[in-house]
Amino acid sequence: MHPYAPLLIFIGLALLIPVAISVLYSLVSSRRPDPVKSTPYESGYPTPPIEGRFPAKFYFIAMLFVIFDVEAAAMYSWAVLLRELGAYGLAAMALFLIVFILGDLYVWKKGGFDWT
Amino acid sequence: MDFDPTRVAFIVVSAIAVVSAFRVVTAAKIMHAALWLGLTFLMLAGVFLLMGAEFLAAAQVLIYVGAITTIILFGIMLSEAAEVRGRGAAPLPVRRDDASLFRRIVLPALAVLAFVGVMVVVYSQVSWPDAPAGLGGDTVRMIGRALFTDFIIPFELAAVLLLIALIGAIVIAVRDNGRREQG
Amino acid sequence: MPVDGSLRLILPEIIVAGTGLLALTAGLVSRRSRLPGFVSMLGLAAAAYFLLAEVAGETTQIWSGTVLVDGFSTLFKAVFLGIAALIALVSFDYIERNGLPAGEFHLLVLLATVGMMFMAGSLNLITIYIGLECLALASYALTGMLRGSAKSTEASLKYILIGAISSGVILFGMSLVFGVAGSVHLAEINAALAGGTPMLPVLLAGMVFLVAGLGVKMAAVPFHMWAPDVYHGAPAPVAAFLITASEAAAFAAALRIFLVGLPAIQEHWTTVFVALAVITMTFGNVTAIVQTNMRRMLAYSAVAQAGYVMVGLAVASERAVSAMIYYLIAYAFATIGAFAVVILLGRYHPAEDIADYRGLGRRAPLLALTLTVFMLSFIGIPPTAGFFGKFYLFQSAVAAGMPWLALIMVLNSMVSIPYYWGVVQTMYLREGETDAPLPAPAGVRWTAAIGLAATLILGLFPDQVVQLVSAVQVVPALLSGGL
Repeated sequence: MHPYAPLLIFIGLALLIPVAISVLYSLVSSRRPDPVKSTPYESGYPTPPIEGRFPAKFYFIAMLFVIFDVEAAAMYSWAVLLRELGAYGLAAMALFLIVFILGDLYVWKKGGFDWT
Repeated sequence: MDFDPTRVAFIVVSAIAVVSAFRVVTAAKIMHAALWLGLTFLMLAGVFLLMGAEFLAAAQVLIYVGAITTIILFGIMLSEAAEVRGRGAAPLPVRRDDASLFRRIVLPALAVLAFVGVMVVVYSQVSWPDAPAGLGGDTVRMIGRALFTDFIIPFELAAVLLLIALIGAIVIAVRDNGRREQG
Repeated sequence: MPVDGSLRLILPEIIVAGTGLLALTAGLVSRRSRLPGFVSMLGLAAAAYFLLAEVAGETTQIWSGTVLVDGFSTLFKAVFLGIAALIALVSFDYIERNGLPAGEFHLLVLLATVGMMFMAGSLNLITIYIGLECLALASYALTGMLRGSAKSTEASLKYILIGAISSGVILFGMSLVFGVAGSVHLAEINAALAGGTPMLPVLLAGMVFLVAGLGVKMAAVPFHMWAPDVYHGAPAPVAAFLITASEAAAFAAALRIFLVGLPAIQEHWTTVFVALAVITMTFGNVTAIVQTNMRRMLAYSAVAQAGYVMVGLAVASERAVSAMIYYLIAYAFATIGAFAVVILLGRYHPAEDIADYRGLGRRAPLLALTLTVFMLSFIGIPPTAGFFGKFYLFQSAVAAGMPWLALIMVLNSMVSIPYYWGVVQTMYLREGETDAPLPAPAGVRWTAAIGLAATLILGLFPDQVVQLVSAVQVVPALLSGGL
């Protein structure tokens, strides 16, 4: 069997389940529409289109997320080799993290993690 | 020709990648374009996986599908233009003078043609060597070994790079209230 | 294992990075905005001491060839350290006056310097690329540091967009070269290509992408679009830093990549660099003539000067490389000195128009005289460093059988006379609105004085410096046996 066959099966299942639920739902459900039911979520008023801009804060958080994400990707191969690399690998990663954490401390000090 | 599942998967994945990349450029609403871009990234991860580059595929999903698409979506939500946000409002008026024709059609077409031309020449005129046979193994370990032995200095330098990115982001984005006004 | 005695060979880089963090801390804990600058200069001095006392004279590859220590890298590192120290010196007053965050400013300058030191100090494409990215990311943030200024923000945005694309282009070029040669180490690339170039089209595409990507960092036409806006909109000390250090680092990396890694296709990249050099200097000079803003004039002049330096890359002989390094050093001192005067004038005339220099000969006679010397050096008039630098480049082009390229250089120098000389005329011959003397802060005075002294010493006694730069080899001796 191909080594990625489980992955393919997994993706197939992940796609199959929502499709199956939708098909099943449309087959077995009864339809008696009325105006109240047709409103979104059957609760309250329809939401108006979102006006204006999102605060720039969101973008800043997204930027931090990208940086942390790259850092996490750097740790990935290290984690796999943790035993093989031993103390040396630990030291190398520690140096990497110390430099990175200094940056975090700075962001923290500057209020980069505060929402308000 | 024999039935080769890897080849079929490659054709399917790359076809989706090409179509969604095309939709990135042609989608009317930029929000949709961003989502198509996310799909393109995901399919590229599939291509990497089919080539046996597992680490690259994982990094592609983690960074491009996860982070880059998110930051693009946030970037779109930051802007006010109805055309960009695409909530059914009229698009911004497009000036149609000669310069805009040049900028919007001639220049991009030239750039695309030049790039495609170079790439076609590059890939048609040469015979690429076969991939080294040893590359079927555990690429995550191979990359990890290379990263922590031979390339340890670039790796630590990458930490400095991330530090610069963090501090640069703060310098550009966060208002420093107090100290600045006193100056 | 990588942890061994070779750590001391990159001690200067470690000191610079550590100093950056110290400067940041100093900026956070102290309200005195001058402290980070002093920390930065002390750290740079310590790094320079270790570089000259411990590292100089060594030629060795460490950490599986990801780092190379040799005369070329040591000389460039010394230049970068010197430039960073001068930038710190000239920016004391500027940081205070514009309310820039001092700690962050010095940290970013120092970390950019670390990146440049690795760009010059490696034959490994990956190290070179990450060094380049350190420089690039720090430059974007430094460019956008003037929060209140729309010009600064615009410059930063343009620089980020064009810089990000250029990084991608460089990486693509590197990957194509790697695909052909099967190595990221320049000496191994050369060895792989020595027996013939099997996939020439791919290699040429890689070369073109590398030239384009590095061309952006050098501000070579037609990749210069960002340069005038960035050199105009960025904080003045940052503009001086980018014009001098960032450009020198790009040339250092280009010298290594093309002379060590790709001599197999030298005829091809020579053609490209000859064309780029001619276009760059001509365009830069012609456009600089019509500028009325001092900083934009200096920006286009920087483009033109990059064209002159590129002549060395086009000729690519040993003498041309020495001439390039000499020219880069001479140009760095004159530029930073000129920017010291620009910073002073910008304090009283924020528009920074050339017209604002009227009557400067009377208002600040010494500084006006210094600026005159820098302008003469830019034109290339003896006895300044610029003259000898141009002469040296000229000679190398003639010796390599490209007299017409040397002729174009001379013609371009003549074209450049009106705009450089125009500044001098404005200072001395046109009456200013006021005769009030311009008091200069100590940092500005010292920077101008150092720039002046260096420009004159390099011009009057070039022999010692020529000995220094001609001892430098792009292809390190430990490799030339195998090449």
